[in-house]
Amino acid sequence: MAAMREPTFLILTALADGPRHGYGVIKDVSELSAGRITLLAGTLYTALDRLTAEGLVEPDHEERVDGRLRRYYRLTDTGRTALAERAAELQRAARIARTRLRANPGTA
Amino acid sequence: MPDRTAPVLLARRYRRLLFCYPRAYRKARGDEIVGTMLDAAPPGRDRPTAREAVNLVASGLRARLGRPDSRWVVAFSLVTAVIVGLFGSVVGYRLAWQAAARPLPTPAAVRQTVARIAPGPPVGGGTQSRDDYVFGWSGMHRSLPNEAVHVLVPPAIDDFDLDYTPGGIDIETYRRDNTGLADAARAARARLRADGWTLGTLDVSDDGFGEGPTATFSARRDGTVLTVSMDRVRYETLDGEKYWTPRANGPLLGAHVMFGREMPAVVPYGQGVAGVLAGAFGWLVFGWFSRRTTARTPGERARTRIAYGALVVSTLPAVVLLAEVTWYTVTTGTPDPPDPVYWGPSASPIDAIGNYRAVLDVIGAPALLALIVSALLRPRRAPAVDARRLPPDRTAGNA
Repeated sequence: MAAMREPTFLILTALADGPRHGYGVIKDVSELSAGRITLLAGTLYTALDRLTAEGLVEPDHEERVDGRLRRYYRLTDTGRTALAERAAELQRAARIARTRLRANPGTA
Repeated sequence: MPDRTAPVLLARRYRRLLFCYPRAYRKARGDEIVGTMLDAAPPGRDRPTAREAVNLVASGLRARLGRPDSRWVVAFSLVTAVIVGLFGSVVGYRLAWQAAARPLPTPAAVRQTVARIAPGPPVGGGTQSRDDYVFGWSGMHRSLPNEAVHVLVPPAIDDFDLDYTPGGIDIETYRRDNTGLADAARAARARLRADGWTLGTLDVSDDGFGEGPTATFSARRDGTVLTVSMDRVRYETLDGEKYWTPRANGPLLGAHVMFGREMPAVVPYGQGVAGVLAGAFGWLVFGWFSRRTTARTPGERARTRIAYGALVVSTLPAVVLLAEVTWYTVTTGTPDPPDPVYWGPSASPIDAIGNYRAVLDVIGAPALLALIVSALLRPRRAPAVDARRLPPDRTAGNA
């Protein structure tokens, strides 16, 4: 599997605390990225299809609200592992960055 | 009265954009995608933004290719579209030629034109041949349907002596005429010009093999192209046989006149339109195969890949030649590639397929058959994304 890109990481993170439906994921990703990443529905479902095919995500249940179909997705165990690994990688990289910045505060 | 409130209009318009998705996908996921988009839309909006529309169209086209976890499927779909498009452009090229080509000059008109080029009284020994077809095998008066059959199924004749060529008339004539070569050529050109022919440049050159100079030029009129070459000729005995041989101060004037058809203006358009349509068709068919073979065991997926790879490889020799010919036609605006002996003027696109029939038959056809069988077989395991297999609706409150 290729290195996990940021939108994928954020989608998995959005699902980490329980199942969410499409719009729920879009809202959460937008908040998690402080408004930097606004997923469009086409992109979201292309990503969900890919993550489902890779076995990281699976459909959970569906409901109808105001006549609109909402399908919920949840992380699989593989998905949890992949997300945890990526989070650890990012944490490691962030820690190194901070350590180096502290060691050499610069003059700028 | 139809409901014209903003959310209803918006839903209808989103749904229209979903038509880029494959039908089964639309059935399974359409309501869900539209629901999400309606949730995300600000109140009062009644039409999709341009960004949303482009995104839905692109995502729908991607969904047509199946294999959601593949990084290569988009590239391969484009490769397939180009290959099928090139093959299709050949058919368009050929059909446009066939539809727009005018008849070659009548025998009487040919005699008249040749007499204007070389007016002296003829002596024996000339030759003439005439193939009225637009393209075909010289001496075999095959019609277009026969030719299509020749390209599609194993040929009844596969005689390498037969060249696939554009139709034309080829006249070689020897005349009593004392005019010097250059003057004879200039006089011939003046008479043709008076008859309304548009002349190409005159080239008088001697290749230094002791045969004396040759004068060549071309002329065009009403969709007919003349290619003329003239030299002084002597009737000589060589190895006990008599030949008409070019010699610098031969007593006779030899003229070789070829009548051919000019490429009708519609041909590049026919070629282009057919190429684009065939490319789009190839892309859609690729998507169908890919979707049909997405949810398979790893072994089945590997077999599909091998069959697809073999199919693409089997087309490559023909594709390379087709691409070269197409590139030449597009960049120069002329149908005749630079080396007619090697390429076969104008005929090469369809000839390219004919030349590589063996590899297409032996590798391409079985590979295609294997792909078709594999696409028609029922998947052994359910697609990874199949909303119809979702657990029963547990309704609200689980979020």
